[in-house]
Amino acid sequence: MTIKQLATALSLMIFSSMAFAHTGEGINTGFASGFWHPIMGWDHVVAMVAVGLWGAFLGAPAIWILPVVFPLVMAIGGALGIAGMPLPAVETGIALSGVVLGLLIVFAVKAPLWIAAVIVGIFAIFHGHAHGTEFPTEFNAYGYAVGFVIATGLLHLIGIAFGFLTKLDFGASLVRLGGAIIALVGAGYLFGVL
Amino acid sequence: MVYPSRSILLLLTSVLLPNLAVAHSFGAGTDQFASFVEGASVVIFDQVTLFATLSLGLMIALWKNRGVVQALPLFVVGLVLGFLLAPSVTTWVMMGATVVGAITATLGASLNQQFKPLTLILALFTGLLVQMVSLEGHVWMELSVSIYVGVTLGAILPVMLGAATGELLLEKLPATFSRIAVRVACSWLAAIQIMMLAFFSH
Repeated sequence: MTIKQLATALSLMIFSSMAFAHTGEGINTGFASGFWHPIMGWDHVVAMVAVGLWGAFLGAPAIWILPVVFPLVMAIGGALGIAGMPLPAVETGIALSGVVLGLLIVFAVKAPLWIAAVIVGIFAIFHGHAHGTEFPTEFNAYGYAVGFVIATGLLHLIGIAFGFLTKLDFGASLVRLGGAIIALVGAGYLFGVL
Repeated sequence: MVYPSRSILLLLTSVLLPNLAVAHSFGAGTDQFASFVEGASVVIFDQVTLFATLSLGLMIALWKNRGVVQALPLFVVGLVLGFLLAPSVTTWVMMGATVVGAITATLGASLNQQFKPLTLILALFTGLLVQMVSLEGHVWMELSVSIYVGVTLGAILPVMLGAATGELLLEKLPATFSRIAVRVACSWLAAIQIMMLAFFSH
C-alpha cells in the first residue's frame, strides 16, 4: 500500500460520518411505532409486567383474566385519547399504576377477582389514553394499533412468565422484590425523579 | 470441428424462445386467476375484513368443537345478502364491519361460554358486512365472476383459519390453558378493532 493510499484510507476513516440506516431513529412504520411505544417507556413497561406478576400471586383464573381485561379497557382509553377527549392526570395515573401494582405484589395481596379486574381496568384506561393521545398521525393507524396491542400483550406474558417463579421455593421472594422495584420506578415517575 | 446436432439446436431454441405457460390461468389468454387472487386479496389484505373474520373464527372455536360446520352456512348466506346490498352502501359500512368484529371479539374474550344463537347471528352479520365492505358501491355483476369467487373464498379463509387454529389449541393444549389463550387472542383482536373505530371517527 502506498503512502497516498494509506492517507486516503485514514482520512476516510477519521472524517466519515456515522451511518444512520438502521439505528431505529425515526421509526417509519405504523406497526413498529405502535410496537415500540409501550416498550420504550419504563412507566408502561413496569405496569404491564406488574399485571402479569400480580396475576401469579392471585392464581387462576386471575392470572389469565387480567391480561384479557387490560387490553380491552386499554383500547377504550386509547379510543378516548384518539378522539381528543380529555382525561385528568393521565401521567399521574400511569405512575400510580406502577406504585399500586408494585405494592400489591410486594405484599402479595390476594384480592377477589372482580376487585383485581377493576383496579387493573382503571389503570388500563390511563395507559390507553396516553397511547391514543401520542398516536403519530403520519403513520399507519391500523399498524400502530396492532403493534401496541401486541407489545402490551407480550409484556403481560413476560410478567406471567416471571410470575411462575412463585412455584419455586425462593421464587415468591424474588417476585416480591420485583414488585418493590416496580413500585420504586412508579414512585420515581410520580415524583418526577425519572 | 464439431457441429451441434439437430436435436440440441431444437432444445436450445425451445429454451431460449419459450412462450408463456397458460396451464393454470383458468382460461388460456384470459386473466381469470389474477382476478380471483385480486378478489381474495381484497378481503385478506384489508384490516377491517381480516380482523372481523378472524374474530368470528375464534368465537366459533370457543363456542363448540366443529361449530364451523353450523356457522359457515349462515356466514355464506350473509355473503350472498352482502352481494345483493353492496350497490347501495357507502363508506359507513367499514365502521359497521369493525363494530361487529369488535363485538364478536369482545364476547369471545369476555364470556366463559359462547351461546349458539349469538354465534350464528354474528356469523350472518359478519358475512353480510364483510361482503358489503369488499364490494362497496359495485353494482351487480359489474366485476368478473372470478373476482366474486375470490372475494367469497377470501372471506371464508380467515374464518376457517381462526376456527381451525382455535380448535387446534383447544384440542392439543391443556384445557385450563388453551381456552384462556384463545380468549386472550380475542381480547387483542377486540382491542385493535376498538382502536380502529376511534381512528375512523378521528
